[in-house]
Amino acid sequence: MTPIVAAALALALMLALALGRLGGAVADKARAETAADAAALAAADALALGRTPGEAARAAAETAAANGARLVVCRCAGRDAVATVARGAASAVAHATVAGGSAIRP
Amino acid sequence: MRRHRNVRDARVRARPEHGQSTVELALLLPLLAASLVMVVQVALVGRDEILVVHAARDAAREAAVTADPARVAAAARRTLTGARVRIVRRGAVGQPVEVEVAVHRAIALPLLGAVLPDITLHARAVMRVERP
Repeated sequence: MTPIVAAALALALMLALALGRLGGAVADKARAETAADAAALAAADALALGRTPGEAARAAAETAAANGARLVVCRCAGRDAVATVARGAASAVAHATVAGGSAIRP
Repeated sequence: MRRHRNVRDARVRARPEHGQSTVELALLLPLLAASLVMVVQVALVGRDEILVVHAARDAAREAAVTADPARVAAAARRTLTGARVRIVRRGAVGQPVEVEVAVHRAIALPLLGAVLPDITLHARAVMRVERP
């Protein structure tokens, strides 16, 4: 019976490790989404205040950096801001738009 | 009938360790149960780790449009009950607002839970302050 118990313990340990890795990966993805969200909203807010697309992209880059992420690309012009950010192995895209003079998430 | 008992007696005599595996299992069963509880515990901590990140985002989004700490805390607690919220800094419109969300969790393992320290999960989020 001992080998069966040992196998069950090893299985439980592997399962715990796998769950830990999975949780960490999903949390990293959530952090990347937070950074993308914040970057897109910052860019849209800058556009809402009448700033240039370059200034909007800079606002997005600063906000992404403040959240520990790197702005990969910001298609920020007119009434739309689409920010792509990378944080470690995770990346995320968020879209914000200008409506009624302020930034919103559609 | 007679013949059958002879066969059985011989088998018992040939295996002096008879019953040992049952005793071993009885001794190891609590260990096995504890390891399964550990798996569940890891899953619960992983779930809280994800939720605390989402709670920080929701708190930061609220903090971007309001200076009221109660509303910011309420936004975080809608996502994660028991979350503690701290507004690290909040600038003027166009400046960053940073919030930190923490949640305290006790390890709910029998015996081991009393020995292992409780854990606190943190997450931070920064957003640009918008006009309210």
